[in-house]
Amino acid sequence: MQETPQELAARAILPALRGLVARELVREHKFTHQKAADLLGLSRPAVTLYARGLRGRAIELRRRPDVLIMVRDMADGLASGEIDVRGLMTKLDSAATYVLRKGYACDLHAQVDPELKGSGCNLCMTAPFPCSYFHGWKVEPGSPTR
Amino acid sequence: MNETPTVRLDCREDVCPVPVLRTKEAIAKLTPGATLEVLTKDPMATVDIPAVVHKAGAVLLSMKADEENETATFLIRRP
Repeated sequence: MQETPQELAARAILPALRGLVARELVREHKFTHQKAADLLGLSRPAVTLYARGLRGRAIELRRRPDVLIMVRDMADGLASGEIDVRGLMTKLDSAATYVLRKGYACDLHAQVDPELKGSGCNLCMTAPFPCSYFHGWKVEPGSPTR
Repeated sequence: MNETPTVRLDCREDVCPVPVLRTKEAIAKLTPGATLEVLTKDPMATVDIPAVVHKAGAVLLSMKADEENETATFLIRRP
């Protein structure tokens, strides 16, 4: 089956990232599943599945320190009120692009589309890095952010 | 300003947005008065690192660009 990188991101990477943020909110910030669901714009049962690792398992990102630093940032931002669900969407989108760009999803992509294996595909790695990540910030007056 | 940093953070292998997020976490761990030196090749760092320093309530002491090595060096102090 052929699948574009963006389809892969929607099917596997974004759920995995959401799951990690949900787990961070529940485990590190000690939020209830309902409170985490409210912050993430999800249902409580969905957060329960994410928090237990029963959803968002198609790709393993928990051993990627660079991805985890983004996950912590997103969870901290939601917990502190620095970002809302709209800001989270911007950051999740950028983080998913980052995962593609770093080649972390290539093995999974090749499982879905075996023709990619050994093809020299570098489509994702030639895309620009997601500098829109920080557009999820709430900009305060006087802040030098863009 | 020549100042020996308390902590040095080498982000030259990292790409956006990781250098800024590593800087943000490193600032949070600084003791008051300590300084942090950050090295990065991320071209957007010259915009984003001053912003994260400002948001963290820290002070950007200096920002130097080494064009030959495509590296920017930031010196940050936590008040």
